[in-house]
Amino acid sequence: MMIALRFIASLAILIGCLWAARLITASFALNLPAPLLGLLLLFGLLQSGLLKSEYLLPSCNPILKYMALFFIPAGVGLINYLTIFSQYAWLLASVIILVPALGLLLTGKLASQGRFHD
Amino acid sequence: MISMLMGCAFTLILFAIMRRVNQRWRSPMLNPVLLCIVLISVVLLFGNIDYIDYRNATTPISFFLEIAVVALALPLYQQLHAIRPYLLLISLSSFLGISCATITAFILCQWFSAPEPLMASLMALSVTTPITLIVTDTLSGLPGIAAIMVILIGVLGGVFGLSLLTLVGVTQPQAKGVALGVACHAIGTAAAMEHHPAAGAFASAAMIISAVITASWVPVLFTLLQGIIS
Repeated sequence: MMIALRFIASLAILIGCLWAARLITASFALNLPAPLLGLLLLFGLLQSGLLKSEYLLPSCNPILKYMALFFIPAGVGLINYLTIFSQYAWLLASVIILVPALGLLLTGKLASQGRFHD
Repeated sequence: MISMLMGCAFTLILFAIMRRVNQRWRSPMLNPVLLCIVLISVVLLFGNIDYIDYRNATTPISFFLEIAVVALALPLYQQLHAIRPYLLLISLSSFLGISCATITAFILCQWFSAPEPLMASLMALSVTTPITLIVTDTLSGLPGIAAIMVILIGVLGGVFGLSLLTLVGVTQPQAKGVALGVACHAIGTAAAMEHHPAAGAFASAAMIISAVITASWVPVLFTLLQGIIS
């Protein structure tokens, strides 16, 4: 019972941040995705000490752990574009290889400039 | 028509099974999400079920997508003290990595003369899937294509990323982590975590910083690139 209540309370905080962000982006016509502003709002709450991270753990842990599940429905949308997939197979194949390869190279080389101490 | 209970239960059970399969045979190729998407697609195609029906039946699952983005604030907060001295370096690497990914995809799209909606779907691939879906929607692309591409890029990075980084002389685990977090988001972060704890911490921080930068910068960059072309 207690566990369920804790889960619901922490989920309510997340939903609250998301709704607050929706309200802000809508009323100021911001070009920023609401979930992202919600992330920043929650981060601000944690940083300012207004919110203890323990309150969030009950819902954040499972949500982050199983995050991959949430985009399965969107991914299945590919069945509406099978013709595009076959038509542009070469383009998509080059994107799949080149985008991460160049990204890893550039980012890795740049980040190597840091003086990291373990 | 499929009921909400059926759609959600089927997706959840399949995901649980695929996670088991992945834990049993540890291979990034056996990515649970990828397997689920392929299998459910096959079921819908052979069962003559309209995608719209399945999408409507699984709205409770998709609802958590945006919640999950908000939840990312927690790991960022938890790792802040470890990465604070490198925040600028991570942000700069992330900014350039994302720009490089978007420009590369844009050039390839021009080369293959891809139609507008397809091009819009390939602009934000260097970021975690929920953000990709949001940005693709803003640019009026095709979210289904973007999601698959991001997952495939992540799987590829998870399999070959570390070897590639070693090959080009990136040796520090922290730098490897930043590269994997930016270029291969969640799946790359998982690979970094297995490689080295410091790599994992830097990867997840880089992934979240990339999410923030992508959502605000990629739409602007896309408009700029289109302006140059026309």
